[in-house]
Amino acid sequence: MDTDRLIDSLVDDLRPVRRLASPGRRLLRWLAISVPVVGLIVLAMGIRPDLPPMLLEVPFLAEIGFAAATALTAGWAALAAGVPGTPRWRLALPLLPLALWLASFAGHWLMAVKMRHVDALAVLFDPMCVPMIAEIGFVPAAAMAVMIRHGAADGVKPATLWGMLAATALADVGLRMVHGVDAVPTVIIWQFGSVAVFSALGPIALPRLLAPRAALA
Amino acid sequence: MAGEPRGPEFSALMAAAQDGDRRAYGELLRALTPVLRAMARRHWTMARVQDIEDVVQETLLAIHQARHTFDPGRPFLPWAGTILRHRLSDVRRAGQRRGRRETPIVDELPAPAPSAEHATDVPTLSRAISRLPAGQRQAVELLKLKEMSLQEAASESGQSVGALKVAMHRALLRLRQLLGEAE
Repeated sequence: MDTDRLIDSLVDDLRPVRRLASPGRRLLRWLAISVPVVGLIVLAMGIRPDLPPMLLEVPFLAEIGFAAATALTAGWAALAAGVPGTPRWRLALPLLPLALWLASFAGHWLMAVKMRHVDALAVLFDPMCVPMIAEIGFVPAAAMAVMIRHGAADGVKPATLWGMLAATALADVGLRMVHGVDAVPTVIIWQFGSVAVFSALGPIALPRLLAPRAALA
Repeated sequence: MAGEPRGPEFSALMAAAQDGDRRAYGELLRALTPVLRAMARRHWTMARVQDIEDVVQETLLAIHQARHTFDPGRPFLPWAGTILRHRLSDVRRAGQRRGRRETPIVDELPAPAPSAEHATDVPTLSRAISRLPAGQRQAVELLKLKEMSLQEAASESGQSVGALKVAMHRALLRLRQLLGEAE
């Protein structure tokens, strides 16, 4: 088929489409879905009794703040990755809060292991926490996956990585309201493990699973 | 050329196309095609004419599918240019994969006559067709194997004539790639 005939076919096939909202507006929608769900699950599980004094500790607040910043920037980057023409440096923005979050988490965890003489490996593979983590992280991850589908196909892989990171970080914020630091390594492994699986299977499965499609008006 | 749409006009034409204006869409794609060709040549100076045309056609298809992601408040050409660069990488990678399997003598052979397409053995062709995505496979089956008209195929499949034409075009590109790999 020559290019002129292809253009005629595309023009014949034209249907009105609903424009994709800006990444910022879609991020607000994602938060509007995810934050209340995470909050309800936190309330249902019961807030940790030592939360009020913990909220006065700078390291705890810093860790929560970095996790929240990671959730926001990674959520924005995931949604912006599906918009062609978004500058690459903007898509790399989550790396800064992610580095700070992981550093604060690592320091906090090492301190807890040292002070409480907890077996680090037992902490890493605590199976009791997995259902809790799955509950907190599932809705943010699923909502993000649905939103990624509305972007352009070329951005699916970075969008998936950033989207799962955003869900991870938001789940961590909720988890820290329920659970002590000991659970955080498990949430990291569980959620980042899913990121690794998504990344490995991405070239095969994602184009079909998350195949973006134009939203007909 | 005087009178050709510039950046802001591309944005306005695409905004109208998003609302379903076919005249604006045709004008946009026809004006955009030489711009895409020039961009592709700039990024891939050693490409053959057919490679550039493949990149342009793939870009037009991708623009069609991603048109809802364009924000009329933002410049059009960076948006289209990003899509073109992705398609350029795809076409180059496909070409490199084919190139690794071919020997130089192939370039010295005369171009096959159009009828030579029919010389591909039936099992290989059937396997290649079976590897197509469902929509493209259905287009090939209805239009080529059952030799239906576009209207008949549209009525049988429930797709528009335009969608069938696009699916057929993509199927032919994919089949060419698959049969190239099989040789």
